[in-house]
Amino acid sequence: MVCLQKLHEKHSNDGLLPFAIAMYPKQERVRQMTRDMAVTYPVFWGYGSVLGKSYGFG
Amino acid sequence: MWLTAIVTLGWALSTLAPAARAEFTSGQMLADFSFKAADGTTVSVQRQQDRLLLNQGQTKTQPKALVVHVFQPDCPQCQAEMKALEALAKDYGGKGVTVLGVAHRGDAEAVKSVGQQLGITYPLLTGTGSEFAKKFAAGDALAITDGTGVVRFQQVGYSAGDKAGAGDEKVWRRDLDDLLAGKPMAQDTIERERLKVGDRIFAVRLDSLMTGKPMSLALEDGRLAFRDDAGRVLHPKVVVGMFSRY
Repeated sequence: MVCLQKLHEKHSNDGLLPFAIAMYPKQERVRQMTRDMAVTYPVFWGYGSVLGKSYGFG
Repeated sequence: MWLTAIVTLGWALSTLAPAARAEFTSGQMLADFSFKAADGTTVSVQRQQDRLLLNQGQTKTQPKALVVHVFQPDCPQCQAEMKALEALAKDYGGKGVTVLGVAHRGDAEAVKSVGQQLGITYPLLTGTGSEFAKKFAAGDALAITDGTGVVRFQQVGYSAGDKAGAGDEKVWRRDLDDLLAGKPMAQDTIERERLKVGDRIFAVRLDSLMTGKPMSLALEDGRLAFRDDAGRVLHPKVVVGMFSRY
């Protein structure tokens, strides 16, 4: 996530969009970690989603 | 497991570059390995005279089938899988089936801790840093071998399924029953979605982690469109995404 954030800061004006799909069950904890890491690119909440399950995440 | 998708070239073509392959291969021989278990004993698996030999401290056995789960101690999905494997180990331990867990990340203390927390009684080994573990750096994987050490089933990731029990555990049990009965196994893998080079990226329509409001990333009229949680629309040239288990 740190690497994606660096990419976001360096290349977002060039048309690059990093994103993450969070797959951890404790949403508030993940949210806090995301804040702590100063992540500003979009993070989807994917835990329990059909999309996540189809890729073998839970 | 990290999944990286890059979409470029006229907004529509996507490629995928997995960080590493994280899987066993059906039909191939399981590689020998030797690691410390959480209780300090050394557990090794090797082939000897066309049979799989399992050494647990001073005890030597020749299992009829071996289930190897490569896991990460702090991964919730791996932990759910470990609970299912614990039930499997109890039901099949008396039938000549051995279950082993090999951590590919985390130290011995983390491995011991998660084992205690989940009540795991099958051996949990610390393989972190080994060549064996490095092959699985990108995620969790499971293999079932026969008594000669040939991988007869493999999977990456885990699905507990629904309440009706249509999850991965059902497949493991059916396959083990077939293997022990000397019958052809019904499945040698559980297929998961997987992006390949040249695939179009999947559409993502989920809520924002931070605000709970809907966001989406999808192809619209041949262009990649990201709609953020404030309703703004971006048309990125390149996207880099991952499933993150934190």
